[in-house]
Amino acid sequence: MHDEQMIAGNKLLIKNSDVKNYVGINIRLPWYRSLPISTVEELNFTINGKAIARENVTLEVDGVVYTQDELHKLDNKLWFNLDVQKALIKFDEPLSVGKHKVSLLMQLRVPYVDKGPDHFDFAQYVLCEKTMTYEGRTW
Amino acid sequence: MKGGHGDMKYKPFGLGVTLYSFNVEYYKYTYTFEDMLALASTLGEGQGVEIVAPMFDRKYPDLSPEFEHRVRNGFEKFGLVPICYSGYSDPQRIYGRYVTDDEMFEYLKPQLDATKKLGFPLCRTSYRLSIADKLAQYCEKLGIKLGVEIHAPQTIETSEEILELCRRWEGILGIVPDCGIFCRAPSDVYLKRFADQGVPKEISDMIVDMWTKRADLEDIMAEVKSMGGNELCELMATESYIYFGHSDPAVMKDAVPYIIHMHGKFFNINEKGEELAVRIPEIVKALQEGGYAGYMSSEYEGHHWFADLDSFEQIKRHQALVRSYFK
Repeated sequence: MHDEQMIAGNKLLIKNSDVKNYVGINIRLPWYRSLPISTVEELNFTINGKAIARENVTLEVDGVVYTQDELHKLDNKLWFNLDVQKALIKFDEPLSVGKHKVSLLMQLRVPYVDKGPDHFDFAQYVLCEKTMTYEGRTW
Repeated sequence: MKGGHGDMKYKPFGLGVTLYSFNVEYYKYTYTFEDMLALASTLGEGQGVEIVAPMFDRKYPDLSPEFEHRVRNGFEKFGLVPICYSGYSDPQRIYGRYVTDDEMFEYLKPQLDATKKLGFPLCRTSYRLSIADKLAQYCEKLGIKLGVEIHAPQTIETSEEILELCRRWEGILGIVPDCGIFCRAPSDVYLKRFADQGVPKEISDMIVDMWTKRADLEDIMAEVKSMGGNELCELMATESYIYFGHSDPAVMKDAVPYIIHMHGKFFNINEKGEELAVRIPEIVKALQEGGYAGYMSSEYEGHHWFADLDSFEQIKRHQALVRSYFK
């Protein structure tokens, strides 16, 4: 649900650090209610068709940067469903100014469905693909 | 003539709306919490409102002072009746394991406290039967009720264990039947959406046919696969099972002592004012004959297949349709 809104906006920002470039992409929780952040099981990004390695994707929540494994521990932290969180993508190759195809496949565990004898798999797979513009700005 | 309800045979039960119905507009920032309360207040005097706490409170499962203020303020300003606090036990919120019974109780406790503090008579949430007595004792102390939803693919007929619990804790534990369990057919908007997305007619017809014959989901899936159906077809099969149930509305007549709230689930009320899936006339009849005196929250779910439909217009149509069957 809410697949099309999962990637917020259509502009890419690059953070210049001493060592690497980071692409910052604001993302929304693709669900109708807030969920504990521990329910975010996987964030799979591709940029211009190139899959980003898992360890190169982190999420900034309330000013703190977490790896994907660290996100799994945040069962007491709520992703409020109206809020964005910033996904940081370590992107080694220089990103040219202009349009880029970004896709996010999120694997989300809906925590209130009982994986009981009905054998329903309630990991939701939500896909959002967008053409985004890098205008040369950094933050 | 009974009571003071004109020439009606029964006193009509209360009507309300669950704010879940507007979740698409809320998500897209079209409506705020207050906007939704304002809309609800135009539906008639004494309109009930059900809230889904984790849609609105940043401190969920706790009650934030900010949200408490907004609820009190909003309900008073718009003359609304608080009818249900919808919460969750979130058994899988911890990565890699289910929560323990103690963890589940501690997660539900603040939600029950919030229910009481905000003036709601009942909390709707699922919970493990192993902590039912502990929860019931806590609710009894608070003076609120606790209702578990009966939702497709469950039926009232196969919920004996829950009903037994409700008998033991009558007046405290109850059930909240979701009207999606009482369907005569899968919804027209569901069918149209899957057709638009490319499910072949033979497969769609087969799914509806097997649904009508109350086939098990495994059998429907097996048939989909043998017909060469893709993932979309499999999703259509799954959704037929989890959205459209086969419970008989008539069984509610005797279950009314345990029905503390109704989820008036519906999918699409068309231009002719018809809801083709949910058996609304029979639902109203059974509730009235059983003497149901609670509320029914209109719960619009058509947005799952078509997000562009006007949810408020749908809610208005639903309440008019339910009212038209009051006797």
